[in-house]
Amino acid sequence: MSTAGSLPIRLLTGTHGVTEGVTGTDRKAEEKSAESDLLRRAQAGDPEAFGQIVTKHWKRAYWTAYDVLYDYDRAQDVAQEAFVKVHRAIHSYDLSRDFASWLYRIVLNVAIDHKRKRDRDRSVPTDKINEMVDARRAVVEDQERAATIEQVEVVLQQLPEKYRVPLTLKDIDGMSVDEVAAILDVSYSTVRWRLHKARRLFRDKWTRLAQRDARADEKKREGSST
Amino acid sequence: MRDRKLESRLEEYVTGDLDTAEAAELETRLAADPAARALHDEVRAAHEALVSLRDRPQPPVAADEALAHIQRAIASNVFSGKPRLELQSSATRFYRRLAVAAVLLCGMSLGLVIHSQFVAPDAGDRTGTPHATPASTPSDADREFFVITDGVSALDWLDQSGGNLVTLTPTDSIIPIFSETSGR
Repeated sequence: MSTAGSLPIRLLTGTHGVTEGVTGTDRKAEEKSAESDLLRRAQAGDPEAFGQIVTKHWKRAYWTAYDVLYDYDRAQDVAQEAFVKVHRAIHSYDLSRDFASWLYRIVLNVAIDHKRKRDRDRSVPTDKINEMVDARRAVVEDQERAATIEQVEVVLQQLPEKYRVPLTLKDIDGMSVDEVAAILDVSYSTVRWRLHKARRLFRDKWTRLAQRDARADEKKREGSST
Repeated sequence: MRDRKLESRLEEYVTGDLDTAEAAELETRLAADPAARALHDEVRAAHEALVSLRDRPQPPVAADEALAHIQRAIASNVFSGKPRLELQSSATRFYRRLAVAAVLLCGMSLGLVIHSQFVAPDAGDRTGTPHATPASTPSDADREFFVITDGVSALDWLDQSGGNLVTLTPTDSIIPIFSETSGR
């Protein structure tokens, strides 16, 4: 379907891309400076500044936790617990470090702890699973989009955590390889290797799923034409 | 056979992680190589599916509501002076259970100590052996040490029902409780 003519439509989202012009860099610098200011105020005990930090990062923290646990309630618990930990440790936080990396490392650690605990007493009742599916449908109003997201999540869940986590941080949350390496406390080359492996695993499963759906559609069409 | 290097390049291409020169080089190859183009389509389709998760909506719990929970949790820590999280987490339940188990364990240990202090000297009764009358009743001061002769363990002695349990007094004089000898 695609030809070389469609190739210039590139997704230039990476940090090594060429789209980041002067205005983009300036905006990033401004955001960083505003965040540093918020962090300084939060360190001084300003609850309003801390509230703004929570509001700013809540969505990403929540979905990061969800991508480990695939459970809405637990994701909420984890994200909240992570912010409580952030509040406790914010006085000792080094402002020269990247706050997002620090926060998501805490979120991931709490999420992985919760996941291990859940896996130990693994018995998710059927009611709970149905409740989760209903909750997902309620969250995503557009049913078609919901179906795609659901399929992507199903495929992602089949990937080992070791590969899934860097993949979601890089390709979904849009972090750089350096940031992912800092969060996971592994080297740059390890992240690149895991990303490649994760993308390949995801692609194989996704392609199989797409082919299966295409065959099912074809059968349906054949059935309706006869 | 998979071309790992090409796969890797294509992944970085669709995520925008290649620099201009590398991207141009790859585009030249894609224009000339149908197999590479087919792989590119596959890589792009998977990537586009994956990035659909970027459009995920706001979480079911709004940031304001979550913030209220977080602030309550922080406040309860500050005012109660103890690390109590109001997060309905299973961690809280686990520590509560751990505390109950620790209290029960302490209670049982205390019970055992009390039992050994006041009941152990009569343990011979459990063997079914007729309780021999000691030659003389040891005083409280005498009940400081209990030893079993010829190196057998307490359980062995109970099984044999014929051991020679003696009491070592603070003055090192040995007072036999039972007059029978083990024969071992």
